[in-house]
Amino acid sequence: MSAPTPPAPHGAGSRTERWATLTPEALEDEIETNRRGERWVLVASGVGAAATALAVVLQAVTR
Amino acid sequence: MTGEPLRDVLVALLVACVAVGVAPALGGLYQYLLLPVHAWRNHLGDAAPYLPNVAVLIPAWNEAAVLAASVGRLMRLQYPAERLRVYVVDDASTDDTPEVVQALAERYPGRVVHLRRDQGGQGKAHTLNHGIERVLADDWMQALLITDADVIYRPDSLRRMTRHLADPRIGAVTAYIREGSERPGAVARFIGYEYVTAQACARRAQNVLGALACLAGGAQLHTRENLEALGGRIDTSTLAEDTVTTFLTQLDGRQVVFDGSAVVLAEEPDSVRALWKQRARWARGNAQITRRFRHLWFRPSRTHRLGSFGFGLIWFSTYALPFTLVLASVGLVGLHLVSPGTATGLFGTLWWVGVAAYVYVTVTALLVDLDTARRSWFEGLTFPGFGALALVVAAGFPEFWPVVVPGWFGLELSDAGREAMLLLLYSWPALSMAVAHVVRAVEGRRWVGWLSRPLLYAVGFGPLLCAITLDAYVQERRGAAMVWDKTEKTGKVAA
Repeated sequence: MSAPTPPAPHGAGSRTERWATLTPEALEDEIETNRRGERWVLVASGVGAAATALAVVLQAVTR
Repeated sequence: MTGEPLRDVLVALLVACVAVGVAPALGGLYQYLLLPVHAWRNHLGDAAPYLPNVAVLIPAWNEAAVLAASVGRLMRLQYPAERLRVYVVDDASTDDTPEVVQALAERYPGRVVHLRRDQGGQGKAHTLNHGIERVLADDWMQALLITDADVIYRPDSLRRMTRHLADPRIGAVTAYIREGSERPGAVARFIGYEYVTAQACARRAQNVLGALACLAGGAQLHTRENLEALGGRIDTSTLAEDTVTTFLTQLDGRQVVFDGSAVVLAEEPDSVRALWKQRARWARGNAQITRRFRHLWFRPSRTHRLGSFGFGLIWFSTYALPFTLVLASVGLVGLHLVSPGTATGLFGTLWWVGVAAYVYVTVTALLVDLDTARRSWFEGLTFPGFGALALVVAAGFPEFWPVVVPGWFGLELSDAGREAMLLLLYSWPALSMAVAHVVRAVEGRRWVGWLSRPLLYAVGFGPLLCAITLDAYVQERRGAAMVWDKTEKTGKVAA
């Protein structure tokens, strides 16, 4: 699974099987799921920013 | 001005050198600051179910070892079989490529087509044009997927690309090429991490900007209309035909998008020598693009975003990186000789830039692609090289290297020792590029070959790429012949 899509929830297997049916409804669902999955970059950036702030604080404290 | 105006001017110039030296880091940070915006500003909101007739074009020169796997994967795509045809353009191969493709054509009648060029070796763009001419002659094709012989498509990847073409404003779509060697060595693992930063993160940021730098050569999907508007041909005058196509599409008012959830796998070079050949070609291509499109940089337009300030900043941050590393070293060493206090103060200030760029970029990139992070986390952490990391530590904790570390061994560094250490640290950005040449030179050599890998981690993959880029610029400046070297692959991808 591509990383921006968060860890597969319960029942994800059946969901990807449904997407593979290629019906318009299934493909719409896949698009919507991937669109929600893009929120992962927000989490990744937030953790990156927090780690940076932590490094700066640690440096200020220990210097 | 003081009583020494010349000295003051020199100090100002050297400070400017250091400031220019860190500018690319700011450009990189800018790109990463755009990344979270992609959470809501992406093209998926305008995508819709769309499964057009897709012709897949595979240029192949002596690719017998990898074609069966890649074409087999294309045949098993979760995509309507009657809407997918694969055309392998055999560029006068001298190995078993014709037999392999013929066997595939017999196994998948009507779905795999063998096109043979009698005279090959002119380059990928010429090979592609042979195939494009054929597929455009048939009205069946609604979209064209250009890929490479060794690229492995995941079952869901193509449909995740075609959905964007439901929007008539889109001219082309590219996927995320993930390094997928079955048994990656150090170089391949570095490339794995590099692709997260250069594709999964950078291309999302470029989606936000509305200007994409490059459609990946192994995963670019064009609408028929876009191909026809481009004249039905790929540019053959540069070493970066993918980038020319990307730019021309956008200059003509059609959008290009990246879909990070459409993932394909590629086996990348696992030796510094092979990497050097591949990346020197890419860097020369980028130099040619920079010159060819010189009229558009930093000139905003209503029809495209390539001329925006943000895109120019991102492009030139990468383009000028080798020069700025040299400038940073010249500035710091010069300041140390002329005004040591200024050098120390500036070096300490640089810590903020260094640590922000390193921690933020590394943590974010590793989280954006967790699969690659599992394989390449160590290469992600050591991407700038142990030398550059030592530099960041020295800037943040000035006493660490000259006092604390010798103290662990009951030693005390002499004044001359401190001076030598400072000069080594200040000159490291430029010096690391010189050592990168040593990494290549010793690789595979008897007796000293083992040094290549530890040296690679000391130099870092980023400075190695800078050294290759600088070498490529020199080749370009000298007017060296444009050679399309083949990157050898084994065909073993962990798909």
